[in-house]
Amino acid sequence: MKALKSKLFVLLITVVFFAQCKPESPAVPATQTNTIAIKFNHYIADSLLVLNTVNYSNSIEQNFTVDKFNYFISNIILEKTDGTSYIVPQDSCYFLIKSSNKASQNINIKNIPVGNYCKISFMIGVDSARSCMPASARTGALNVGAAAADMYWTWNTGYIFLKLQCMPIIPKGGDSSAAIPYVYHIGGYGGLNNPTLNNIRLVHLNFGENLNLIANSTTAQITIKADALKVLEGSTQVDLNNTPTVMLTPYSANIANNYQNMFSITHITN
Amino acid sequence: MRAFKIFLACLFFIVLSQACTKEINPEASFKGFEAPINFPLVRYNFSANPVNKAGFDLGKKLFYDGILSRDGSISCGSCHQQAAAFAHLDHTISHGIDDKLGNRNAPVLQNTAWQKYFAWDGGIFHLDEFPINPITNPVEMDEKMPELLSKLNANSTYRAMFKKAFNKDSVDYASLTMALSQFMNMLLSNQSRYDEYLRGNTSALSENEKVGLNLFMNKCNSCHTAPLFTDNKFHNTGLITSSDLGRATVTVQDSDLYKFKTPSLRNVEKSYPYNHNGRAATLEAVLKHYASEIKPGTTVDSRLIGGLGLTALEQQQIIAFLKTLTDTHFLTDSRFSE
Repeated sequence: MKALKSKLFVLLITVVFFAQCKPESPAVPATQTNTIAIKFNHYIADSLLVLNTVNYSNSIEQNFTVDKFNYFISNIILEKTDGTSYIVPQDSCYFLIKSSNKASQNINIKNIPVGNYCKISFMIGVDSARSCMPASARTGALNVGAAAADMYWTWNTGYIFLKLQCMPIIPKGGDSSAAIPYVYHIGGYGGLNNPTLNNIRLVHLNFGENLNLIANSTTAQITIKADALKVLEGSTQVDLNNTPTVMLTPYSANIANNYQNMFSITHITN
Repeated sequence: MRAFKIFLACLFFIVLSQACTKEINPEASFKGFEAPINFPLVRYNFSANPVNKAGFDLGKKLFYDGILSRDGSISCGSCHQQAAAFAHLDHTISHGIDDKLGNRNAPVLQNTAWQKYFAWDGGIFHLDEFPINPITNPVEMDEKMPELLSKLNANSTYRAMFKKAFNKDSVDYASLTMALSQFMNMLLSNQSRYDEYLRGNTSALSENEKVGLNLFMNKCNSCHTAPLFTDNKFHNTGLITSSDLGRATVTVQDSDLYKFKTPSLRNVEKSYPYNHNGRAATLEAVLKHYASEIKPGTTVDSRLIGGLGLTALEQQQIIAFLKTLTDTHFLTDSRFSE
C-alpha cells in the first residue's frame, strides 16, 4: 500500500511537471518548407566530363584523360531576395561529390522555408571546426571508414577537399607503364595548434533569375556546372609536366584559388 | 582405490572453485584509467571515451591482431613491443608489410593521455586519429579502412565485443579507434626508480644517479621536461639534415624545417635505437651528439648551438640517471601483454 502511494505521488508530480511545460499561447503556425535539389554537372570546358576514355587538353596544349574528380561541398547558405537567408543545419550540410558516382552529384536540401531565392553560397572543403571534431561527429559524407575513406590525410589529420587525378596520353606504341600521373590533392583547413595552409574556399553564386520556392512543388532545382579544367587554369596556369603532383605545399593555394571559380549556375527550375 | 579417485576428484573441484573465486568479477576489479597524482592534467578527453573493461579488452585484442593489415601479417604489436616500451626493438625505421620499410623510427607508446601531438612531425592531433595512419600506410599495414571494417563486421567475436563495449550493432570507424585508444591510454609508465625517488624514497637512486639527475635538470629538462620527459614541442636538434623535413611536412612553414617532436625519455634504456630515423644506436651516441656534434642550421634550437658542454663523465652520469626511468613493472605488466 505504501509502495502504491509513493507510485501515485511520483505520477502526480510528473503530471504537474508536464502540465507546467505545456505552452501557454497557441503554437505559431509552422513556416511552410520544401526541398531544393542541387545538381552538379561535371565538365571539361564546354564538354561533359567523361572519365578515363576521353582525351582532353588544357590551354597550353597538354593532353590528358581524367581518372578522378572528387570534392567536398559544405556549409551551404541560400539567400532570399529580401536579404534574409537559410543556413543549412550542421547535421546535414556536408556532401562529397564524386565524378564516378552519379548519385553523389544530386543533393537534396530539405526543410527550406518557401520564398524567393536569388543566391547560393557554399564552402569547398570541410570547415576547421568540423575537421577537428571526434570521428563520432564526422559521419555520412565525412565518414573516413566509408564514404570519405580516400578523401582523408592520415599523416596530417584532415580532409582532402578536392582531388583531381589525370593521366597523360601516351602516343601509340609508347610505353604506358612509364606514364607519370598528374595528381592534385588539395586540403588544409588551417591547422589546430599551429597555423598552416588554409585552402578552404567560399563560393558565391547569383542565380540570375530567382528561384521561387513554393510549398507543393516537386521540381525546385539549382543546376550547377563544375568545370574540372578550371582546377588547372585561371589565375595560375598549372603546367602538368612541371607540377605533376601537388598536395600540401604552398603551391596548393594557387590551385584552390583556381577551383574557387570552377562553379557556375546553368539552370534554375522553380 | 575408488575412494581415492573420488577424493582426488573432490580435491580437484575444491581447488578449481577456489581458483575461480579469485577472479570472481573482473569487471569490478578493473580500475580503469587513473592518472598519477604527480602528473600534469591529462590532455585526452576521457569524458568522450572513458576506459572500461570491455573497451580495453577489445582494444587489446585489436592491437595484437594482424586482421588490421591487408594480408593479416602485421599487427600494431608487430612494431610496438612491450619490452621496448611499445617501440620496435632494434629497428631503426619501421618494418611493415611485404618487408617494406618506412622512413621513421616506431615511437614508444606510453602515457598517451598526456600527448598533444602524435607522430614525429605531429601531423596527427588526436590519439583516436592515430591508428588509421599505420593501418592504411602502404609500407606499414596497407589496409583500406572500409575493408577492415567489413572484416571486423564479418567476425562474430568482434561484433559481440563491439556490442558490449560501445552498444553498436555494427563496427564503425569511431568505435574502432576509441577501443584502440582505451587500450593505449591504459599504458601508464610511472613506476620507475625515479618515480619511487619522487615519492620520497631517497635511497631509490644512487649518488651517481642523483648527480646525473641534477645535470639532467640543468641541461636537458627544458625540452625533456619531467615528469613526462617531453615538452610536447618540436625542435631541430642539429642532426644532419635529410630529405625528411620533419614538422614542416605538416605545417608547410620554413621555420619548422627539420624539427621533430621531443620524445619522452621514460624507458629510454629499453627503446633503442634513437632519433626520428633511428640513427643513434646507443645512449652514449645520443649524449655525444648533444655534447659536441650539433650541426649548425637556421632552425637549430638556440639552446643547443655549440653543444651542451658535457664532459665524458657527465655524459655517463646523465645516462646513469636515464636508466632509472626504466619501469620494469610497465614493461612486463601482463595486462598489456600479447
